[in-house]
Amino acid sequence: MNLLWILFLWPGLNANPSAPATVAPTGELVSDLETHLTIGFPLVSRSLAPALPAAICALESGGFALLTQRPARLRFLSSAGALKEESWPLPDLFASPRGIQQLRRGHFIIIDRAGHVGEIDRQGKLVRMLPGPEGRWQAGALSRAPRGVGWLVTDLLHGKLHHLDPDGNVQQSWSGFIEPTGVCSVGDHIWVSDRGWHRLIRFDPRSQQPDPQQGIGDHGAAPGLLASPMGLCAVEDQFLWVSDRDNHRVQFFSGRGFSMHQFGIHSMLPREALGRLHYPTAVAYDEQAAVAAVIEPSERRVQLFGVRDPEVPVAAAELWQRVDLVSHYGRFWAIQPGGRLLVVSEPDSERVSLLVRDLEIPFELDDVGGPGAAPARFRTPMGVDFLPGNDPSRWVVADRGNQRLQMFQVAWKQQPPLRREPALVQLVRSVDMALLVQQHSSWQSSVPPRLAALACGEGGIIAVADDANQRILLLDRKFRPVGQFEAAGLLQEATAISADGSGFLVADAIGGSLLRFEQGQPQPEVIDGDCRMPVGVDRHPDGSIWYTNGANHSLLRIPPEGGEAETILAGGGTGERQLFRPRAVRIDEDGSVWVLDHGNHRGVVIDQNGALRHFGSEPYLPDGGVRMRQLKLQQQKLQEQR
Amino acid sequence: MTDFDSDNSESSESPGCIILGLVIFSLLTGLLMLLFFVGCQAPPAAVVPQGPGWKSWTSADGTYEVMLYIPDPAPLNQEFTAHGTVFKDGDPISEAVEVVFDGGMPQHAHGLAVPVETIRRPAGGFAAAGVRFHMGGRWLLTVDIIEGPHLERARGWVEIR
Repeated sequence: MNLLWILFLWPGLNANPSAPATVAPTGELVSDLETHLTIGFPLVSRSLAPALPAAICALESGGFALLTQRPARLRFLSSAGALKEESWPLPDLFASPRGIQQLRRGHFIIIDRAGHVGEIDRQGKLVRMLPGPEGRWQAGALSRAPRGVGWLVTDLLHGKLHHLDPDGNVQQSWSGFIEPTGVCSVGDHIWVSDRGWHRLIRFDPRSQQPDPQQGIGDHGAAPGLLASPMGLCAVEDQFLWVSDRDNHRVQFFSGRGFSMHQFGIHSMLPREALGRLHYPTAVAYDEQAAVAAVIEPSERRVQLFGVRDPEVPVAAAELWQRVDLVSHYGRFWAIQPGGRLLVVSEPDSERVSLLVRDLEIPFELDDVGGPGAAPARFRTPMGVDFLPGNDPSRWVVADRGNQRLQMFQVAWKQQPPLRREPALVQLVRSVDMALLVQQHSSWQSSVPPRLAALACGEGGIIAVADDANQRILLLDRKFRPVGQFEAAGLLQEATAISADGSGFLVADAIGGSLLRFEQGQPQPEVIDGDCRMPVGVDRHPDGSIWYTNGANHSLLRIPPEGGEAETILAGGGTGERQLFRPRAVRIDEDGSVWVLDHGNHRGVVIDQNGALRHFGSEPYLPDGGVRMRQLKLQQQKLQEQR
Repeated sequence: MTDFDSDNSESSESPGCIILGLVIFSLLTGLLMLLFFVGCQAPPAAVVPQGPGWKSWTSADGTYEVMLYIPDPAPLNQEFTAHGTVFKDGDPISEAVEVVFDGGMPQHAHGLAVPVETIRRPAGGFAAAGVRFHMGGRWLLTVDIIEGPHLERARGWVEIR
């Protein structure tokens, strides 16, 4: 009976891409609130690898239009899950697309991270460029404006929202956002999801200003709370879907801001789909078919969800449970040179964890943070590094959303037994970088700083990337300005920085280069290594340079004498010599290499003798362990039941 | 006698006048010498309060000295005013510097039950009224000193019984 019900509501359930459903779902059955509240049944998962899905929208005729990055292409997906074979390249200016919306004539409006707005046809050909906001800006999201008059675009550099007319001219702008990652209009109201506030900010553009303090939600995992809300999608001009990225779920909100429904939960097994989500960033909804399409760039895939059989209880694991947003291993970490400590930046939980690293499984001594702007809290902790030569040990964290640097110390006595000690980590000082940039004449810029990678070098010089202004700012131990690195045409984004003697090594993933900066030298040295997308870098004591390549999940080594890079670890997976979206590399004084295997939620250590050690999330470890075998069995049973 | 007195008063050559002049001269000389010595010395050390309830902390990077008063013993579940003085290089901090007092129990993952506002007082002073330790145990108290874009923290533990 249950199976019949599912088949009746959604005939495409059993479809495969080569044989899409032949019977379209009827509108009468599916276009009501009750139906929206049953969405969550996993229908199909489509891999886009090696491309990353970047934006998605529903088509008026049904199905979805998808934009991918690396390579930048336009693709179409039916609501039955059939991914069209043909894909069309996007115009050169749209290498990093961030949003797509359909025009009535079948064309699309698209935006690019670099701030381009354009109209393309169904073959991806550029029809016209639209002006968009003036000056440099970074597009975050795109949506129709209320009543369909023009467009809404968010600017991540300035924390702004712009209303564009149909020809792309700015009509009105609103500020006060930290990181506006999503936007949509529901009725007469505009909704903005803000990753910095972890809130949905709703306002009536005719009479109100956006007020984040009155926003909906806050950081957390309970229903109605959010962790890095991203893409939004309006439903029937009354409701909206929210990609609740770091909670690995999609939530359904009423126009009044009540959370009414959710689906998705973090994958228990690596690369697992079947309703499990991993960092979903955008959602689109085909109202006629009652199918939600969710994109997951971290897994290079799109998943479709349909209605559940209301008579079948939702699996207990998918009901809300307390989720600890910790131990995900962010993109940055640092090792205490010659010491025992490891600090890991954890943007999912807005924390930085302190661990003892010279154990088989590193032990967490304490963490610091929590969401917010108060001292010692974070809004997206990014780069982190230990200051050399300090007792007690000190480290510096780039707190991107709060536009500040924070320095912490730990007076840890290395005596057994190891135990977790709250408040072991102590805030030393912080500096408001936006204010410091204003006060320091040679640092002044029209765009506020956007902090990212960070490294501490000789003499306590702190180098922090300012992505908004394509430069690296240099400060002393007291957070006083001492200089900056700029290299027009060479440095686009300092994705990773590491100390290198009296200079700094920089991995530029956007520019595809490795650079070495030295104070007093006007231009950086370009390191030849045939780098495609370096996302982590450090110098080995033997003089070689090690870097992670985000383009193909690999770790490479450039010999001291230069020349072709040797591949050390490679292949997207959880195997012993594989990585998945690796990020930071840190090399200890003893030559051991510490690789942050971000996409596998684990750390990989290569010791001086070349032996490998893994630690972190158990299902992602090479041998998986007992728990993973049990999970696989459970998964197998679930699949059989379905 | 009256005349004599009157005469004395009118005569600058009288011995009493000379004595009075000498006394005034020596007083003035003494005062000048005192001022000279005082001027050569460092400014007077700020009054550092001491006694029960006073705590002396150095901020984490050593820039500030914080004198903080909370009643000794600190009361459980009763409101009081935490106050104190912050010094930098031996002098009270200027009026432009912001001071923020706060407290919490990290082991229990909570702060003060009712947030307090810290106001500045003259001569480096600050006060936070309405502080209440609503639970016995170890409390971590913090004093943040904010000068322009820079913040530095002093902190210490108190045991509430």
